[in-house]
Parts: sequence; structure tokens; C-alpha cells
Amino acid sequence: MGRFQWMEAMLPLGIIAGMLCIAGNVQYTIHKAAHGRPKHIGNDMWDVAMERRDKKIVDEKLYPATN
Amino acid sequence: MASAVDAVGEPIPTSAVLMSASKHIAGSCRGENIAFLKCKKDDPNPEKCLDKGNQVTRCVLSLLKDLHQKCTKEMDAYAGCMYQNTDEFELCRKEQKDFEKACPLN
Repeated sequence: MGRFQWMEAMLPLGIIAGMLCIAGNVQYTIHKAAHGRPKHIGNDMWDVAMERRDKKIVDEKLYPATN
Repeated sequence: MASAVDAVGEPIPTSAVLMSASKHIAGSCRGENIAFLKCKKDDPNPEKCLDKGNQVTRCVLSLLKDLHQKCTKEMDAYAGCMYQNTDEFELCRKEQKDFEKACPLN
């Protein structure tokens, strides 16, 4: 009986924990790649309205010819 | 989208920029903002408050320009952080501190 024999039983738990990390980080990374910034927790109506307005005024300022 | 300035180098009043400067706006354009809110409360008809709205816009835009001239680097960093974190002050305390050190609140 080695002193660290319990590590053998921790290994499957470690793999499960690793899979949970992957589940979280993959979605974080994909969302960040798709939107350019991390997902916003608690995105209320104010934030949605601000996002629409931001997009509109930035498009107007940076590409005035297309509007 | 992350850029906070337009072609001529003037800050675009996106939500990130406005939220970054909100403390300064509260200090410098207080009178204009209160007058506009009072007008809105008396009569929600947009037409009745156009001049007051223009005054607020003018005040805030000149303040933004002023701030951007005085502490360009800090303001860009703070607004960039606010954009990256969708206006969450809590995640940009370091940039906020630097910005307020470079451009102190009155």
C-alpha cells in the first residue's frame, strides 16, 4: 500500500473536472471569437439598446459614405 | 468597433466612452442635464426639449473632446476596457484609477 494510492482514484475525478473546464472554456472562447469580446452576464434592455446605438453611430462615423 | 475615436480624432460617444466619462459628465454638465430632465418631466413631447437636448449634447461632446485631448492614452485605455467588458465598472477599476489620476474630477 503506497502512501499515494488514493491518487489512483482521484484520476477519474480529475479527468471529469478537466472536462468541465473544457465545457466552460470552449463556449467562452467561441463566443469571444464570434463577438470580439466576452459574453456579458446580466445583459439587460439598457445594454441591448446601447449596443444597437453604438453599432449605428460607429458605422455612421467610420463609414459615412455607405449611409 | 473597439476604436473610440473617428477619423478626425474626436471621441465617438459610444456607450463605452460615455460610461467612462460619466463621472466627469455628472460634474461638468450637471446644469444642462438637470434642465433637460426637468423639461422632459414637464412635457415628454420630444419637440419641446430640442434646444435643451442640443445644449446637453454640445456640453457632453465638448467635454469628451476636452478629456480626450488632455489624457488621450488613459481615456482610450479606460474606454477600451469598458468596451471589452460591456460597461462593467467593476472589471475596469485599474484603468478607471489611471484615468481619474490623469484627468481629475472637479
